[in-house]
Amino acid sequence: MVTQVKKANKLNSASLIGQMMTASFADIKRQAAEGKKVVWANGLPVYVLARAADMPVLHCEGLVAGLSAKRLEKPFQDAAEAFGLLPDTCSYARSFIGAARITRGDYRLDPSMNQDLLLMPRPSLYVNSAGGCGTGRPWGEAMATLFNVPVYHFEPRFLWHESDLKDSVADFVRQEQEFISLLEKITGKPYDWNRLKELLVEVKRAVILRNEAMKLCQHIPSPASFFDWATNIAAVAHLIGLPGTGDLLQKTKDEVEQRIAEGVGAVANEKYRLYWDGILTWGKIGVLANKFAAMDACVVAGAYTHLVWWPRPDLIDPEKPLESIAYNCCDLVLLHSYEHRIKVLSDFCREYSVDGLVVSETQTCRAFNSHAFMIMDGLARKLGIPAVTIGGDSCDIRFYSDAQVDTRLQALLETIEARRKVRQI
Amino acid sequence: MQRSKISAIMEKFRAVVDKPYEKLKQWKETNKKKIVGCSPMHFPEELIHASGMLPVVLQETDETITTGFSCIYPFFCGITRNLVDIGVKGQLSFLDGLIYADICVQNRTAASILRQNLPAIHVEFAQLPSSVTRKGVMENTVRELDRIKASLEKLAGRKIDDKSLKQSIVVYNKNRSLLRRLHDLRKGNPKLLPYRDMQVIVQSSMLMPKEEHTQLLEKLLAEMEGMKPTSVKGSRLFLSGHLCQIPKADILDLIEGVGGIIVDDDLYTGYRYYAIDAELNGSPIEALAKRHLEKSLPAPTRTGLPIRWEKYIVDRVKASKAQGAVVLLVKFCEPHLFYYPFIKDALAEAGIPHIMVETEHEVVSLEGIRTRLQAFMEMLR
Repeated sequence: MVTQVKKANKLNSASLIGQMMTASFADIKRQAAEGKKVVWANGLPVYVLARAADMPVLHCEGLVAGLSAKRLEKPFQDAAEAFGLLPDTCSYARSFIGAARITRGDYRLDPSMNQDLLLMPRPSLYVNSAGGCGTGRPWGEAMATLFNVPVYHFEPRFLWHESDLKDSVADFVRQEQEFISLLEKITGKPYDWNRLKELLVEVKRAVILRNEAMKLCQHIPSPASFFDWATNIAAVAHLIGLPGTGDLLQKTKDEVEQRIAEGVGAVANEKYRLYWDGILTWGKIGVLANKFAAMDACVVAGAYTHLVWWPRPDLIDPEKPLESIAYNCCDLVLLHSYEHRIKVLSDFCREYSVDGLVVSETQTCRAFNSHAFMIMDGLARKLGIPAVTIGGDSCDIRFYSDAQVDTRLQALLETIEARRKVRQI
Repeated sequence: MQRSKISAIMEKFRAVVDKPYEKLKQWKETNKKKIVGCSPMHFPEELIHASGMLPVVLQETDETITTGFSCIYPFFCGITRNLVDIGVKGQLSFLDGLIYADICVQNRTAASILRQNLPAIHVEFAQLPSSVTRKGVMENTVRELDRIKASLEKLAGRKIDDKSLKQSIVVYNKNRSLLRRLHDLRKGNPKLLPYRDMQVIVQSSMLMPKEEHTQLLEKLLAEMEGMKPTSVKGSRLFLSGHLCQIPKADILDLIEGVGGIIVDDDLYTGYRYYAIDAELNGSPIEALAKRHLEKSLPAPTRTGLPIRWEKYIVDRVKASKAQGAVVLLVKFCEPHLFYYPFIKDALAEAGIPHIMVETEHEVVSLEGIRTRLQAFMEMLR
């Protein structure tokens, strides 16, 4: 076990995210109590379409990631396993199906637990937009069956050929139009296109602010780390388009700029700069942030934080809302070929002065692990950057081992060190 | 006499499925024809057949996974790991083409890894919509099948016209109808054929020229249809699950060995493969699209189907007068994992006892499975 003497210097603004998430879930419950129809959604934030229809949206991964980070996910997983879901099932989905069982009253919570935190308002519609992951399909079907509500599945195309993007976007726009018709049917009101355009203005502002702040981490030492940006995902996922999100990201950017001006880093004595490929074990986010800091390693960027949520802000045009959303759901790194992923990753490594790659072996997520070894090999061949895998899972800490992470991380840093010495010779 | 004729035909089927890729390599050398592998479940083989090339459905082999682990994690399902492994070892290099259809993220991953590692093979990815009720889905499916058709034409060096595609549909419908006849015959007289032999027949249909398979099937049926039903002791079972890959013969033998009589199934290497024909009127591409969208059996890889899988299973169990169901779940098969709780509840609600057996590429602890199956059979008596 590594003795941790140094801790991660977390962004202060990151703590505001937790407060906003808690307030948002309370607000969804309030709106549901007032009679509004609630949407449950997984995956990419195409659900802003429902927000424009004045429907409160509960983002499944947002909720369970937040609860997992606080180590409160276990009742959900117990409820799912009592239902018959095996632990090999995606732990995001598994946890949320557990939440659904609790909401339905099929699984009784221990009275000592915080019922208010764990009980969700029932949905009137389920939206699956799992992007590069086929898991969303049976997940969405399961939810719709449990609540006997309609489900809409968004299906962006896998970009087998890079030229497939145009077709995928056109098809996705058709799906959005069909989905809007469904929203009109459920709400009984004509769709509010003006509200959607207003939302897209806010989305663009938020996403650009976040991207600019993340880009500032090209600075050495990096003013923030991947773990800050992981906490911050909620701002462009569950919280996107909600009041206060843009202002929060402005505060974050200001804080990052201030750190640069003052020469403050996310890691006190930054010696190694790393890139994180894959999802992280939410229940260990604090442990991991401190562990890397203790070893003078700063994870400066990552695929889950930097490449998944609104990857094409340049193509957000509020006057063309459907195309804007479509590009941001279809031009996704997980949908691209291996060659494309290597190219994007290589660019990141150069721009962020990356010394090593950490691949998160997310045990129940096959989408993010699809090309892990080839990426490690490809990057080593192209840029000579060493890589290591570390075990874990998004929401199931049973797959995480502290000792294994310590050993592998030490090995990676020693490899980086050895390479530096060779270069000096 | 009949039995010896049946054994001789069965030997021919077995010869095809034993070390299938080596046999296909030999077939290619002898016949000087191109071979195109396609991923299991949803791709219409007729399209490849109409191009004059031999379509084969990719099969899992028993090979221990070694080199493949340099490309894929151990928590991907058995057939995905196995195909990646034998692919990177060069055992699929005899193929001229490889077509994967989008059924799940693991399948998609295998396609991508094999494309990267087998540059000499033409690897295609067919994005047949999984959401079967979405607006415009028929047009999308036809467009995608047309795109794959053009790609196959390039590989085959010849056009696929409507006439040849229709003829291929006729060939495949004939084979499917014979398999259904055999299925029904066996349902009424399970002693005719051990279930593992039925699997061999279906698997060989996926690996050999359909016309030859059909000829053998006709001979087999001619022998079997004359045989009198034999009474059997045991419990009638419905076998469900196992998408994409054939169950290990050891497990099928165990089920039958402890007194189970498998009378019906919905396995991919079973009824699912031959249940439904494509129509012969109108455009053949549209007929294949229609088969994909409107006529296939409930599957956890699809959405918007008129009946959920668990309800379908309950109906089939009742129709087959099975006393119980055995659910074979491939470890790490995520679509099936999501449906299992619903299947479990639906069977329980219908008063149908069931047992779930999780299977893995590397067979582990057959004894453990035997004990559980024995207990299950005692429960049914």
